[in-house]
Amino acid sequence: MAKLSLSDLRSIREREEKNLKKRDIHGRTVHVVVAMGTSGINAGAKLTLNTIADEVEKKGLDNVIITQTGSAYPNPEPVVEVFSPKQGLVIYGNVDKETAVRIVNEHLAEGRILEDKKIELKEEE
Amino acid sequence: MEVFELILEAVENSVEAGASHIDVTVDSEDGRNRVSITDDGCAALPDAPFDAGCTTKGAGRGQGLSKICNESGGCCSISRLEGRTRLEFLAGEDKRVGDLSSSLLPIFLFPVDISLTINIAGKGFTLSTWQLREHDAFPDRAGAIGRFRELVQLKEGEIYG
Repeated sequence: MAKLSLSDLRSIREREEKNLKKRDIHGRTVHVVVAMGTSGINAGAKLTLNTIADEVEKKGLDNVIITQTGSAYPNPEPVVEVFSPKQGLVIYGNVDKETAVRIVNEHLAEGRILEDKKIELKEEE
Repeated sequence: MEVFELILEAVENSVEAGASHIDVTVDSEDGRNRVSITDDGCAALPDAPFDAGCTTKGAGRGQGLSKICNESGGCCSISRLEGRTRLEFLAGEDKRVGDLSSSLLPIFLFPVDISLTINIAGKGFTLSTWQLREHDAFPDRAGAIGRFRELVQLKEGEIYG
């Protein structure tokens, strides 16, 4: 898999800054993005997104904001991106329901990155 | 596949076409769902929008409208009039409505204004981004996610009692 280039990171940051400007974020510092799109939906991204939303609600994680974006093709979907000022950008692949619960409980709530589910973004050819 | 997964595909398409306002209507009668999605997006309409891979979004993309066409058995159309693009399709009996709250959450997370009307056997309701803002129920944060689910349940009650 190709590593993210600086320009990839810059465009991701610009995209997210643009998205966040549209929202009233009130100091929410951790941003979770679930890739939907045709391939994501086929892979179960709807369940992933709903699970993350319900777990964030259950745990009352006030510093988290959830959004969604388009396809993450050709990466192993469902793909979830987590941005935080402390840990920067972390991308997870093959995020099923169980992994979605772990992302909330371990990464979002306790700041522990799930090393076994982390991926490097594969570039579109 | 649920009808709202097809709607999610269509709404994503509208957002990627630059839409800022999207109206969705679902009329469900005798197990058949007639869906209409109108937006103010301005992307060029390709000659064969329902063909797989027909897209300006790059390799591996352009599957959404093709999927809608296949799932509707070809009962779909797309047109543009006075700056508004309208996609219509029929989804048959096997396209169940599913859990509404889970289906609607991803749709309302798009950063655009959405107004969605559902009519089932003569009863219906409308849910819009504006209503979500009014009730502080935009489902992107703790607290609001719970309010969103409650609001959808209340709305569902208007149909099922």
